[in-house]
Amino acid sequence: MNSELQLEADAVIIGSGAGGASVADVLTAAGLYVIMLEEGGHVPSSSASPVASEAFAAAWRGGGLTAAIGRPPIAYAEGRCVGGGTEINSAIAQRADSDLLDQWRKLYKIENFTPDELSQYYDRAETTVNASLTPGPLGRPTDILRLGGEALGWKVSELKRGQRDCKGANRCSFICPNGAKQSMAVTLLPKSMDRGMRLFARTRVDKIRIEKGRATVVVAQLRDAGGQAVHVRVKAGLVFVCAGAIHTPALLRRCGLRKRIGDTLRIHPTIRATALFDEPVDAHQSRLPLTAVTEFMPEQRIGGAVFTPAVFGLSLAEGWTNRGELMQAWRFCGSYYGMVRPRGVGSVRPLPGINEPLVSFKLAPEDWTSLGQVLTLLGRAMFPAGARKVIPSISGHEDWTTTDGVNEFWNKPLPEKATNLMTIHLFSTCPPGEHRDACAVDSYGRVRGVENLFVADGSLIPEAPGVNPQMTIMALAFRVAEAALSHSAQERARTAARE
Amino acid sequence: MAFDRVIVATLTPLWPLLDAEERPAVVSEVARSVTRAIVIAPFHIRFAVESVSIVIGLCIVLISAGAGGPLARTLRIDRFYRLLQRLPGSAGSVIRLYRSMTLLAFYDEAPVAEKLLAARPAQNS
Repeated sequence: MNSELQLEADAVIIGSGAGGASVADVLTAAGLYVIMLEEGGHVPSSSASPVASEAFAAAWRGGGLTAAIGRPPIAYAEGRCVGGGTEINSAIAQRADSDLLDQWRKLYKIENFTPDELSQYYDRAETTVNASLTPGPLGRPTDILRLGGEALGWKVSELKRGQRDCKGANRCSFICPNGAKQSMAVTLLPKSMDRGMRLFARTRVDKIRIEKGRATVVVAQLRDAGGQAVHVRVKAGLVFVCAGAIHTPALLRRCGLRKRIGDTLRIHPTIRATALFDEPVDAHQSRLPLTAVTEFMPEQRIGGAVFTPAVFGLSLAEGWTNRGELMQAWRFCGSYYGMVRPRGVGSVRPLPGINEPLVSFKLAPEDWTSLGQVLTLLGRAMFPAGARKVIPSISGHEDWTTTDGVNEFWNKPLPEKATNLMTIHLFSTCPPGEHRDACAVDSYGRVRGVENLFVADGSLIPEAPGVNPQMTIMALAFRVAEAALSHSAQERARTAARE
Repeated sequence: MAFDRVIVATLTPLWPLLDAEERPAVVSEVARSVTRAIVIAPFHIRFAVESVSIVIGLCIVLISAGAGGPLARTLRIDRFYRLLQRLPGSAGSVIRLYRSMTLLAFYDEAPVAEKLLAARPAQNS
């Protein structure tokens, strides 16, 4: 260890994704001096690599090689760069279903959590990222999903995204090369930095010191441009943990805060299918599919994925021995997915001396039924859209060439060992509310027993929302930051009165 | 790592067909990329890969040594991989991980991408 950096601020924010950046926006607008610590590096649009393996190494945690242990293991993706997950997601902007919000409010006893009360925060999130329909032709991959869904009489919706003049580079997962995606590095972070916030990239937080019910110092390690480690200590009146649904509970548990933290991981288990058509799809030249079959939401949703030859090759890897030849027809293929809202639960546990926590997830029996059904629905939608063959992501399984074939898993669970699942949505590891047997933090994200320590990221979404979570993460983070400010003002007034 | 290169070389697809002088360079680049990906992987994944890859690499060397021609060698190694992927435990997962990383890096290699784009669309099988 060469040197040490001692810093002081009104607030310190750990993580620069949708949660951290939203908190920073509220605090800096109120005039607070904020320090933000981000474990990943900054990858500007101008240096975003079009090569998938390089882009994953630069902006994805573990280069994309992260998985939740279980039967089967579920591959997951997290952003690890300035801007967090907003740099590698598709920027789809959806609100959580009002009935679900109401259900969570009652179940977890969350104060002021009605859809109406949350509406102002959702509005702010949508305005921030310019949530809007993507201009210009959407391309054949989108048309396929729309045609298939509409032919079956299902509700199909065009998805709003956080974008401004999207050029359709089809590289949303690799950091947008045009700066068109309204990620946090494009929107809220520069705004907060203009107001005086200091952002330290490549700075990993090891510990938060807690004394007499208050978070006092955040201890971190920064890697400077030469790769040298610099010890960083930040003293702050308010501490916000916004490191995502995996690393927020891992950090809190490392600090001795364990009660109901990291015990209730929820995800959107997602199964892919490839459809082969007679005519070229040329998905690599199109935008990613910007419609979704929303008929079965919030329990199930069918959508499409980013497509490049390399990403398509990757999607065939699990069954390569039987399906490798499909690569020769890559221009005739489209990649689609079905995701479900699971009943299963997982956990996050830090391992001593190791940076990455142990993540596990156990699917419930009804999740297997739901996954089988969403795969069936996805397969059904492909044939009216002109598919010749549908290839489910089940290793060693035969391809479907008729709608009848597709129905095989409607009433039968998928084979556990051969089914390949993944997810890019993780949440619920610190559910909020006043139900003390179920909730890790209070209704406004404050960690129980620690006056000035708050959680503001996907960990706060009480259960899987069945939609892309960025808008909900931002809405909840705005709400947490406002509550923390108001609480802090009351605290200052009380102290002044005592003095 | 030497064993990464051995494994990646056997998992690199034959299509699109590369020129004789292009292929070794592409395989080397893919192996470098796979090694880089493993280095930054979470500890439990890295640990499993590094411990199992040595055994797999040695097996491949032994299988290849007694195989005769390249076709026989490829068939033997394919059979070996199929066997590994059917086995419970980490060996099958490690092979799947190597294959995923190899495919991801291979199809992004400039000579491969050029050939993919130049391939006639009528190749729909």
